[in-house]
Amino acid sequence: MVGLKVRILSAVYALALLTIWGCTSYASKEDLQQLDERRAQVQSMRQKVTDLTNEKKKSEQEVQQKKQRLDQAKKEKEAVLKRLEEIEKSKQAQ
Amino acid sequence: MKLFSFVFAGLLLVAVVSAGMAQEEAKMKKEDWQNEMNSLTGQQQGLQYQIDSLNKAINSLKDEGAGYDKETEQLWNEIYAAIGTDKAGVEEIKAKLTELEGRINEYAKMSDEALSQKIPELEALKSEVVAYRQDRRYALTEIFNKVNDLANRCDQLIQRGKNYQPPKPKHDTYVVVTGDYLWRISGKQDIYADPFQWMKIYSANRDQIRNPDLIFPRQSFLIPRAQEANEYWVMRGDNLKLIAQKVYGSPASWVKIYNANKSIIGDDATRIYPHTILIVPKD
Repeated sequence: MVGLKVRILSAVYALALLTIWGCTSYASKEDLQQLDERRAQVQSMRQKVTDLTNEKKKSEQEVQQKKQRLDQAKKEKEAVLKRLEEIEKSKQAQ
Repeated sequence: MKLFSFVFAGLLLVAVVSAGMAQEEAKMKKEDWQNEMNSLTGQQQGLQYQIDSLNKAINSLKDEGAGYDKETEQLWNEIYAAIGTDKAGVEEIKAKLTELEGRINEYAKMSDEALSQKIPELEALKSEVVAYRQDRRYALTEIFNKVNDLANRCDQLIQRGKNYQPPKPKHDTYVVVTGDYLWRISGKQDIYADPFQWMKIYSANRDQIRNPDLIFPRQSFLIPRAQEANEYWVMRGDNLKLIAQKVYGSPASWVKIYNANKSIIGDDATRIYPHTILIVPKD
């Protein structure tokens, strides 16, 4: 009698475990490979964002320098025209 | 026995199933995989947006920079046109000014004495520099500054040469004439213009003067003009201890000075006279 109960209980227990185990769905090997590829893509894009951010900063500095050169050229033109007048006056005075 | 067999079989089954499940836990559940894939896709979209924005901004900056470059170049072309030159013409005057600067640098290395003999050359060099003020390229700020800097440097070198004065000799000489005595020689305008300084002549010519009251015509005396490094010229109020304090930093060293000058001080070390020239032995 006792043996029968134990047998039944064991069978029920084993069946329950197998059912739980069997019903859980897992990612396949291909799925995992796809996930790794996607992670690598994201990592690569992050790196690209970092690189582009640095490039943008560099470009901003270059533009600033170019703007300064332009401003200097404007001032230089004014100064040159003024000095040319003085040179001409000096030549005429001689 | 049967009971034991069943219990054992049950436990074994549980162990096998649990081990299998544990192994499967290393794998990813489909649901978790999907969640992570969705998350990564979202991140990719966000990052792609950032990349596009950054590329756009960089291109825009490049365009802006190119615009400034073009405008700057145009301005410089206008400047050169106003002057009547081009880049090559500017480089040519720069090279000439660099050559002049090299020559000025050579003069700058010279001593004031050497410069005092090169003043005409320096003035000619300055004229060469200043002549560029008539050149239309002088209107350019860089050339303007360079020419003026070089002209200033020439002026400074000329001034150094002009300011140079040859060092006075530390000794003059005087040849005794009939009727001279030390007091009289010292009082002469071109000697010390002060008869009280006769002790200087006496001190400096001890090898020729045994008795200060007895000098002879045609004797040639040294006339000290500046104190030598190993000398001390006695001043009013000095005594040997005070001099030792000044010279050695210790009044106790007066004996050293006394021993070196016994022949001129005499036996009484407490009595020294102003204008006596004492020899100061090295410490």
